[in-house]
Amino acid sequence: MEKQSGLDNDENKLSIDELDYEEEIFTIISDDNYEKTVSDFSKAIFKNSVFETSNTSNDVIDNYMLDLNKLLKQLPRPYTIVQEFYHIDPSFRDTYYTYFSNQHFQVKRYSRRLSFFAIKLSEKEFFAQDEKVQERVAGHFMGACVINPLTTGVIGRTLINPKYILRLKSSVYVRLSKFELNIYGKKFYVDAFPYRMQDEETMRCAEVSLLNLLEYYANSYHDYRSVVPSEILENEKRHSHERVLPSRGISYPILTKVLSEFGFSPRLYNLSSIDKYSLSQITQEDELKRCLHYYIESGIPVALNLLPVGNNGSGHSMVCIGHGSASKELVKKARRNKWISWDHKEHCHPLINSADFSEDYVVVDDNQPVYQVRPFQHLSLYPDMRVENIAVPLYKRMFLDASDAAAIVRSILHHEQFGIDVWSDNFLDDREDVIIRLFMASSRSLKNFRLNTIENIYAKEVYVIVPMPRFVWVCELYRVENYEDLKAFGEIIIDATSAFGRGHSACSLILMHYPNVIGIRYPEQTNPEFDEMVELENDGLFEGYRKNLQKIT
Amino acid sequence: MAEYYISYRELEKLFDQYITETLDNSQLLEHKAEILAALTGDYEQGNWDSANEMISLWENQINKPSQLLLGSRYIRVQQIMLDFLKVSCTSGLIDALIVYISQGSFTGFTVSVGASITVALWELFTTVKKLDDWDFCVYMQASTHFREHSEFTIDELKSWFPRSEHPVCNMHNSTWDCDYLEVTGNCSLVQTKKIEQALKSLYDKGLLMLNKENHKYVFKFKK
Repeated sequence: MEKQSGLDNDENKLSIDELDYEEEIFTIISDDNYEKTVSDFSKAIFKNSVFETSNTSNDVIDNYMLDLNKLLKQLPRPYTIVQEFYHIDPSFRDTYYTYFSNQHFQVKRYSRRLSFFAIKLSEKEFFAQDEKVQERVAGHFMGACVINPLTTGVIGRTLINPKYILRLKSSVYVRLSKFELNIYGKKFYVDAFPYRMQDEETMRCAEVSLLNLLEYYANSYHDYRSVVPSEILENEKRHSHERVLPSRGISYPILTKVLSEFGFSPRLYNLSSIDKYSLSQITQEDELKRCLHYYIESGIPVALNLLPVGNNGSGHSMVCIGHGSASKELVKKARRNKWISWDHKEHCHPLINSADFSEDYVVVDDNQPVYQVRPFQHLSLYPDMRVENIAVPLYKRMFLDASDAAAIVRSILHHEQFGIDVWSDNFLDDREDVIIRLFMASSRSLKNFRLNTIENIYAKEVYVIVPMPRFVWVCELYRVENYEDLKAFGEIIIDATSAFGRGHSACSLILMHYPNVIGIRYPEQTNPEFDEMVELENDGLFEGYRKNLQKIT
Repeated sequence: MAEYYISYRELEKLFDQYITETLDNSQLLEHKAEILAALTGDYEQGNWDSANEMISLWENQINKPSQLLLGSRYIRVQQIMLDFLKVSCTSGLIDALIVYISQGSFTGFTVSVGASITVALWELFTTVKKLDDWDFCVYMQASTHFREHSEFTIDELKSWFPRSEHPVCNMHNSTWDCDYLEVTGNCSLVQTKKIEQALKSLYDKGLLMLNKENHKYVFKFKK
């Protein structure tokens, strides 16, 4: 049962014999054998599944299988690869029938799937009925990778938990989704973000970005359905002025249009449309990075469009799913760029924006191995490319976007009635700096988190009782010395379902929590005033919200 | 150092204050609209039409203040750049630039003097805001002394930096969070070769010129 040779035809057997390597369902990679085994393993896949030839040189094969080799060498050893030789991958099978089956030269229909387990695993253990053994096997599941029978874009849908891939100096925070995979009749779960390479014929980088994003959203939320590449191309065709197959890539305005066809209300941020100011050293790129950070901190993966500086040459697309830890240098810079209210500059508390702290972002880029942590200025492998557009697939009722939310928050925090200066003066030192952390959250998850983490019983009650829309913008407030431990002293929560025009003011406020006091507004309240003010005794610091992103150390 | 969001109206008020603090302010008063246009517009690649439009808006705003037109619009500014604006007004740097442009150095171009002033000032502010810390410090110190020293030697420049006998930096207010001010009251920039490096960098960026006079290197502001 476990021999591939029994499943294959005679022609393929010949090539296996030539390799002196026999494909098996279970392959253990350890420190002792990984160089040779990985190399033989990749060559066997190439010869049996990708390109049927007996006279291709090893160098050429190595070149074609470079990405797979890299992936296999990156995984922590020892580990076991479980191969499914005949795997139907929905996205590849879809492109096969819409494109590859029409070609003169044969392309195979079946993909393979390699599943990875972070232990030495035998067939007996894998199929064991014993619950403890099953749990052990499931607990060591690292993820899976589809191998498509294509010379370009050999790595198809890949779902691997980043904790097994990333070798980090400092922690990163990423948005993942729990995927269910059925491998030889057994269910396994992995926290991952989809990755795949472009095949350069049906999918270029923008389509790959779309497919990965849509797959993530379909798997995470019931509001969205899963999509195959031909549906993306069909939608593209409706809005494009030329044929879409073979793919030549798409522009970001069309990309956002396609997103809206699949039920999103996307926002498209363009670098050159951001205001420039002669009297500010904050550049358009700084402002675009802030915008990106607000969404990433909100757990909203976004598509990034990179163009060469000067816009000469072709662009690139990738997905951003997380951010790195605070960089000391950038924290210092952010402190120098703190916001101060012009009207109250002599006595207000300056606001330091934590969106300026991270230099690194976690991207899923088909030109690079899965999960890359790269500085914002050099997200792409191509030199001189910078982020020019950000496409944010927002839920249809997230009306308030990040830049407007930031403006409202800034206005409220320095408001003469609701600001920090009014309510935190007894807690903070004179003109003490305050770090702000702005993000969007689902009210259900936020309430649950606050219920479980806030100590003050009355505060818990208020958070649970106050009516909130499905999504809210949250701005947590920290003293500088408490930020590293993410212990907030206050927060304001504003409505994400109203537009900017209604509330460049306190009209968007739902809740304000300052030391020893919480104010709430009910939906009927149209004036900028609180319906209830709850005074709290012993209201200590509380945990910063951590459910939007997973920490990978 | 800090970042503010201020309305155009507030910026105008602030600029009026800088004009008041300037000894010979006739040029600033005469070209107030052009200067404000330089501070509030974007004239990438010498966008003269845009400069003319912004000047008209400001002329209108100065004569007939309106909330609708410019008054309630917001602009992002940083304290460090406001400090530079103040220094360049009070030291005569802007004055000198206006005089130079008004004297017809743009002869042959079909560009108005007003738009030329706006674009030239915009270029100055845009170049200065991109300067690194050290370069910015050096340029600010030199600008502060422009009226008395439109040309200066490296020794004169060094003498303007704070030291223990006079531990006050020309360009800092009391809240400045400066990395170079030492506990002793000296400025660490002066102790190192950073000033020389910064001068070279400012020369490379076209903000300063260099001449050799009487066996001494003399730096001048580029016009």
